[in-house]
Amino acid sequence: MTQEELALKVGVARQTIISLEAGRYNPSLRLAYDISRALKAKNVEEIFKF
Amino acid sequence: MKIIKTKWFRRRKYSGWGLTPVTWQGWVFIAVLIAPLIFLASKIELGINLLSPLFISFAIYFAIFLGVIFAIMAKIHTDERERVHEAISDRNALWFLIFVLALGIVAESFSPDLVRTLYPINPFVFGGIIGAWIVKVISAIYLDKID
Repeated sequence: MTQEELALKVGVARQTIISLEAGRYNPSLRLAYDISRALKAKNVEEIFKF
Repeated sequence: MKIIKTKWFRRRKYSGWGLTPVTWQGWVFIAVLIAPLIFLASKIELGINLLSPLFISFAIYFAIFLGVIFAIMAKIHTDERERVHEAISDRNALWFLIFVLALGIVAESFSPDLVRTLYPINPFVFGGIIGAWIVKVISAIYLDKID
């Protein structure tokens, strides 16, 4: 899945996905959950490390 | 049926407040919206009676103009990161404006005539608005880089 596709799926700008990948932006719990679901992860911890 | 589509515009990211048309429909819409405002403003002369029909029409249309712009701005989709950046930039701009206006009040209370005789317009009000705009631009660029 491309950054653009993921951004569209979770309803954010592509720049937000870029910032998340670079570890510069801490997402809200809601966004972290939406991204985890979009990437078909079992849970949020599989994608994000807090 | 929606007459105005929010995809015609995007929010101004770095250059302050307002909308930027991104499609030709957006440009046409802004031109049509702004034309009566320019027409009415061109008819108004200095010292016009504020209760004259011309000035009242201008004031009413200006209020409608702002209402439409704000309504579009409110409906444009922004994600949480963009909203946080905008909120921080606006906060910084507002603090700067408050600081400059407070400075102006102090300056005017110490020397009431100085500010009025030196400048045709109040430098604190003018400087505050321009400065706040600059602070917002710098904040937005900085936040976009680090966050």
